[in-house]
Amino acid sequence: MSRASRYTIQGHEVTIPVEVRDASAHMASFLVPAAAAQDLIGYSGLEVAEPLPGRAVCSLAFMRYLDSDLGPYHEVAVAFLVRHKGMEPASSITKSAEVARGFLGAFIHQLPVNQEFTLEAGRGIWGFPKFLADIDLDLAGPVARCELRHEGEFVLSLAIRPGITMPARGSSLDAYSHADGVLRRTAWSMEPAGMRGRPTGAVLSLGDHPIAKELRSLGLPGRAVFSSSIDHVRMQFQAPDEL
Amino acid sequence: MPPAPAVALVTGAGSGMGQLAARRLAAAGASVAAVDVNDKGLAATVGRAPTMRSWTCDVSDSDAVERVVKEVESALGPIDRLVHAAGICLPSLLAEQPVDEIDRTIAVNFLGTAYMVKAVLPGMLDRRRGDVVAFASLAGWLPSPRLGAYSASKHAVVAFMEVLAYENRGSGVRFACVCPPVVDTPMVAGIQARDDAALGGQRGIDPSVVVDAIDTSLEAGELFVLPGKGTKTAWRTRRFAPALIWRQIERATSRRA
Repeated sequence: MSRASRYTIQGHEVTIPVEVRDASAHMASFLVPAAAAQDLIGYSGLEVAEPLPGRAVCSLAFMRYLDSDLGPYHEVAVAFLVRHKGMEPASSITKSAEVARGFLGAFIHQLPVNQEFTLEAGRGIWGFPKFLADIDLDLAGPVARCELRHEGEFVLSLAIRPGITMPARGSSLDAYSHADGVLRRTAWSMEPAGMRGRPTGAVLSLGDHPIAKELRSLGLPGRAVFSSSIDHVRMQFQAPDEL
Repeated sequence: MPPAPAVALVTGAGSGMGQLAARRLAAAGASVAAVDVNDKGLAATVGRAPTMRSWTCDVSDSDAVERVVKEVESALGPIDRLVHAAGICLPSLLAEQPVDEIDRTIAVNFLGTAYMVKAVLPGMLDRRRGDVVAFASLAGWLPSPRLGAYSASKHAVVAFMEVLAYENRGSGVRFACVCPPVVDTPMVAGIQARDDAALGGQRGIDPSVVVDAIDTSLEAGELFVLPGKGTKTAWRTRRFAPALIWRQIERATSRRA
């Protein structure tokens, strides 16, 4: 399938690759039961990665985009580490080895944003599961906080404690998304600056919203295995491949 | 979590700290009036940001300032936060500086602050809420060679904001006077290009540290925002041991001169 190199969103031309010149990101990763995670994302046709037998990785992130082709906005992501589409069934040992080699993708399961332009671009270009929500971020203090509300209902809050400085290396990965019965894969690269991380370090609270209930089905809120923050990240998104 | 302002007016929004402040407010969902003299910078700020609108305005023109504030309030609604970041810096030895450069520096940096604050304040006082954030500089406390006109203009901003906050204590309006050290922005790049000795070879701090400190100070009720490592110490030293600060300034700037 040929990939478009430009899209028109709300009368503005958006060209590929879509660039983010300045954003900040905070993330917490949780080890969750693989069977429950697989049930949740089974609709995508993807298979969760298993760093440990029977365990999958669910990551919650909050981002503040300041200078980007999609404008300034806040975003929350619920993502799962997944095996690439089309990989052969494998034993738990092989699956753990895949995680160790970093040969994996990220499936974006939920992606609330607080602005219309990025909503339309995200859904229209990549089929990202964006929807409008209220996302309050407090990133000024040592502990970064996020509160997500949807149609007035509390969904979740996440606080990330400061970690220790880590080497910031550029990386690229495949982001998978699923919309209207179509699975898409998007090449996504990032260059972080000012990266910090630590074991645990996250406090998650959940409301009664359906998204919070989904997370409860995974045994959350529990203890994060790892949390991290990036002061400034540059990113590039290519056009998606429909699979 | 403090609520984001619904409507904000940001001056100097075409570059540097004004641009960053405008983008952060817009990202948080505020309607933002982005004001600058620089059309091109403004276009970059408001691009793809449906909640931002731009107004071209020279803040040293009091009529233009009043007109823009009226237009913004009728287009976006009452202004909840002013972030006045517009400013210029023309480094020079005072003996060599043409008077029109001194005029211009005082007009933009000091009078621009006075005009902008005077235009937004009455509405905020009526509503008994709002945030007035004005950029001074650490140079508003520490006079520095080659930055005479700039330092004088920023000292004036510091005095103006301190009196303003005192006169309006208990009014429901919050005030912040931002006094950063050298920050990594296009303004500092411009100073370095014109007179490399003026900043004594200092590298700027991350602008996001400055904007974070504004939010923290507003919440804490602190008038003077002194972001960056060592800034508060430099500020205290200037107040209590001015001779010591001059020795340090001399050491830093003479190395380069």
